[in-house]
Order: sequence, then C-alpha cells, then structure tokens
Amino acid sequence: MNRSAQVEINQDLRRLRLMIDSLPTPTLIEDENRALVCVNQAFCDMFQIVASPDDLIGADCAQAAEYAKPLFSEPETFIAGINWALASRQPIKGEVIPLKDGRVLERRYMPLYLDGTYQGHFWQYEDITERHVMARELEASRDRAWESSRLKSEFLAMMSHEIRTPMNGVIGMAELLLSTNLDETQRDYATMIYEESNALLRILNDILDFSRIEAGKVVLDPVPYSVYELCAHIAEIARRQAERKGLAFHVVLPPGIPVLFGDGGRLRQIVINLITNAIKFTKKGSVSLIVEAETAADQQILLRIHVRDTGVGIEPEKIPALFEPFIQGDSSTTRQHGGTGLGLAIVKRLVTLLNGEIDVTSEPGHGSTFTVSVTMDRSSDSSSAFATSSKAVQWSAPLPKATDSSKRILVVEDNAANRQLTMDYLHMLGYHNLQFAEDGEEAVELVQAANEHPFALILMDIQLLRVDGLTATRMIRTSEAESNRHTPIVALTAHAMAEDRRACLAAGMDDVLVKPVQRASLLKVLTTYVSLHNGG
Amino acid sequence: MSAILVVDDYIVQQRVLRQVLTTAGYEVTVAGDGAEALDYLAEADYALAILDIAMPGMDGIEVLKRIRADSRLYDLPVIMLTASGEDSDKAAARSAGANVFLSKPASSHEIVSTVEGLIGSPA
Repeated sequence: MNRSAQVEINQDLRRLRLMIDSLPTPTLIEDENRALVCVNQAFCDMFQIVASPDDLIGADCAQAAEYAKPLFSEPETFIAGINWALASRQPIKGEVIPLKDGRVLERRYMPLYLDGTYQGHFWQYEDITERHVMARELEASRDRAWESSRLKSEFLAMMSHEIRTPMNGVIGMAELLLSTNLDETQRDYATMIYEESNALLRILNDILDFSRIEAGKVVLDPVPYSVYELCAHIAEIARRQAERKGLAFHVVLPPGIPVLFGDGGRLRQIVINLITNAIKFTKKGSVSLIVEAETAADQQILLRIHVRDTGVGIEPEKIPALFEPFIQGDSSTTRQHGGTGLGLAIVKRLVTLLNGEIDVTSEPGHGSTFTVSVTMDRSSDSSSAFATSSKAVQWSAPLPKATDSSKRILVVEDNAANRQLTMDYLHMLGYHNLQFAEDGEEAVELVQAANEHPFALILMDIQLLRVDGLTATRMIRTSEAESNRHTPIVALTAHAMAEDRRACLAAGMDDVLVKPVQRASLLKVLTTYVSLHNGG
Repeated sequence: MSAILVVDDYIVQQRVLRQVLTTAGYEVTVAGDGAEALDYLAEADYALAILDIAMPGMDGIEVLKRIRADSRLYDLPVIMLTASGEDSDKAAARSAGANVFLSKPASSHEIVSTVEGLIGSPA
C-alpha cells in the first residue's frame, strides 16, 4: 500500500470516528475479537469513563464490561445479555436495562458484516429514564382511576342498597294504608305516595344494577328455565304497562323451544327493560315481543328476541350513543319521559354478560326494533330444578317433590302457548307422561278411551271451544259414576272470583288453579292429588 | 295449623308482614333476630317461616342452615325475603335450602300468594 493510500484510509477512519463521536446516542463499535474500534464521548459520559474516546481504542471490551458491572442493577443479566447477543449475532432492539442510580437504558445491538464476513459489533445505549418514568406514572394513574371508579361503583351499590330498606318500608306502609278505610282525598294522597315511592325504587334499582355491573359484581345464575314461562311473565307485566297507555301488546312465540339452561332471570330483565323503554317512547299503536329460536350447535339454541314498537323512533346518528349511560335519545325527553337514562346501558351490559349481542333498527317517526341474540344451552335435566319465575325464584328444596313421575296427566288447554307452559312446568316438576287435548270433547273421548289406564290427574281449562271445561267435567263424572271411579280434575281458570270457583266445584271439579298458574300451587295440586290417588 | 314465623330486624317490615298475613287469615309471630327465631321454632310448631337475610348477629342464611340441620324442622317451608338483589345471596339461600326467594318490595298479593302456594289457605 502506498503512502497516499494509507493517508486516505486514515482520513476515512478519522471521519468515521468524528461522525460517531458527534452522535448524541452513546455508541460503541468493537471488532470480531472484541477489541474496541470506536466509542463516542456520549458513551464515556453515560458510563462515567474518565479516559477519552481516543485513549480507549484497542481496549478489551469484555474486560471493560466486567469493570462496568457495578453500575447495573442486575450486573449478571447485563453481561449475559452481551454474551447472548455476541453468540446469536442477531440484531437486538429495545432491551431495557436498569442502572443502580435509577437511570433506565435501552440497548440496541447490530452485528457488523462486510461483504458477508463477520467484522464486529455495534452497540448503542439510550437513556430512556424519562420515558420510562412517565409510562410508569401513566400506568399507575390509570390503575388509580380504575380503582377509584370501582370504589365509586361499590359505594353507589352499597348506598342504594341502604336506601332500599326504608323505601321498602314506605311502600309497605303505603300499601297497608291503602287497605284501610280512606275517604277519596286520603286515598288519592296515599296512592300518590305508593306510586311515587315505587318510581323512586325503580330509579334506585337502576342505579344499583348499573353500579353492580360496573363494579364487576354481577354473577350469572344459570338454571333450567322455560322460554314460555319467561314470556308469560313478561307479557303479564308488559300488558299492564301497555294498557295504561292505551297501547296494544303482542307476543309471537314459536312452539317447540326446549327447556333451556342459563340465566333466565337476567334475560327476563333485559327484555322487560326493552319493553318498558318501548312503551315509554310509543304514544300510539303497539309494542310486540317476537321470539325466534333455532338450533345453533349441539345442545344449543340461538334465541333472537325482538322488541318492536310503533313509537317516535331514533335518528340514525343517535344510535351509537344509545347504550351509553345517562344519555337518552333526546336529552330534552328526560323530563318528559322520566327515568334515569340507565335502562339501555344496563341492557347492553347484561347482554354482553350473557355473551349475546344487541342490535337496533329504527326509522324516526315509525318506530324501532331492538333485537337481542343469545345462545343458550339446552337443559340436560329439566326435571332437576325449577326455573326462575317472575320475582320469586323457587327451587326444589325439601318441599315434597313428586314421587311417581310415571303417572299420566291430561292437560286440556286450547291455547298453544299455555299448553307449552303447563308442559314445561310439569316437566320441570318431574312429570313427563303427559297427554294433551285442545277442547272438552277431545278430553272426554280421551278419558273414556283410557278406561284401562285412567289418568292420575286432569288439568282442565274452563273456556274451551265446542265443549267447555265445566260441561266436559260433568260428562266425565257421569261416565265415571258407572265404574265407580273418580279422576281428580283441577280447573285452570283466569277468573278468580268466588262464584267461578263455586261453579267449578259444582260441576264436579276437585280444585281450582288461577292463571297465571304458579309453580308452587301446581306442585301442591300434584302432591295432593297425584300422590293420594293411585290412578296408574 | 297456619302459624307463620316472620324473622326481620326492621320494625317497619315486621309490621307490614304481620298486617298483610294477619289480614289474609294467618297467625303471625315476629322474631327480631336469628337467635330469637330459633327460640320460637324450638318452642312451638310453625307451618312456615319468612326470613330476612341481612340481620345483626345470626343472619337469615345461618338460621336457615340450622333449620335444615334440625331433625324436627328440616322440612319447614322457608321463604327468604330480602332487599338485596345480590346474586350471591340468592345462591346462598338456594344452597342452604330455601323454598322461595323473594326480593323486596314484595306486594301483599305476592307475599300471600307465595305463602298460599306453599302451605295453602289459612285453616
């Protein structure tokens, strides 16, 4: 190599060193034998090296690293990191290394290759203390915010619970007051106390529900339940609400939905909330509950529950905010329609809790449809437990449960939904040997045909086509007189008046159940008649 | 026999239940806490008990557990009546063996029809 070429190379090297020295990021380059090629002042400053960068050229980097060890919070990890990088010869980025003095560094490594030949290593350390501390603080303040929000939710839940106790007292006393002899003005005032305290309680319940969901305190309570029972209870409440506003209420329910296993109580709450909401925002027309069911996977049913109204409808741009708490479609409606604005927020959260989805389609001025889709398991053992009912949750605790489920029961009922509901109840109570008749004439024929194996019990609707329940009972009793037999017949009637009851008993019935039938009373009838009479 | 034992520490609730059930024709005894309830149950026969859950001292769940563990009382129909909507209460009541779980406020109609469903109309 001639002299001018040597000068040129030295020039290049000096230029390179100058460039690296001017880098603000602490940087070190070593060769393939770990001899230091180049280091900048920033690097010396960072690691408190007194020697100047030029004096360090040729130094043993492995030894230097050993000297530097005491600076690091985890010295062995620091050395291990270097060795791992040297061995793997893979670029490394963003390795975070804490120093004993509190600084936090980020290490970058690059293996150097020239024309495919391994030539050494390139190291950079960056002081990221500020960034690191800031991220930590952000995390901490986020955690504090979450915690404080959770605490507030818990506080709200506790307070609303505390307020409920005296509220219940006020409601109970107002109800007692209403049962005494009051003049018209007094009755008017007492009714107002009763209704207003109920309204206040509903608001409290909303707050309680919402804050409990937000505090993560709501746990699902899966039980076997009947969709027909669920809808019957919902319809009972919805019809009352709708009638008060002069609206029609319709239920569309397909036959054949099996008994399901899931949190029916929460599903009921969701649907009632949607219906209450629909009624609130509908001035005239109707509100409908439409249920669709399809088999999803093995042992699973997809329920699609639509709540449709003919109300004011929702502007498309307002739909996304609909499920946020404290927002009503139009904030001016808060005063007009009342409520906490929490209803739909609760619904949305409950639907999410059930792993379901909720959708809205709406046309302003023409009404809205809310659709809840949830997948529920089929109940594997429908006879093992009761389902959730309206407010009472009932289960098969020590109450005497049907002992012999093989006994055959005849259900005479013309309404398909009621038939399905009675069937679900009987299934849940352990009675599976059932037969159905749609009118009195069919019932009489079945009873006469069952001469060999008479029914253990007949549940008889009163208002039937062709031959009504009372007539059918008289016909059955007449034919039984010959064979000296007595099949227990229990009336199912929507009429609770004493004279209706007398008419049933006079026709030869043994007992009367008032619709909507409650499971407890049905169970009582079953234990009384089916256990006592051994009618095969 | 249609004697009902009402167990609640809240005096207003005691009075409401007493009035509603007496009007319906049942005989009502009121206990203000769990220990008192067990004393009453040991002394006389009741057709049914209505238990509040949150009570100072022994709570309703504990009373229920003792009822179910007692060879003389194990099949006593029990209604749990509580202001709390907590799922954990519902589950605890169920596993302790309550027959019915009612949440407050229960209307007089609701209370009476639930009682009737369990033990029939007053004798």
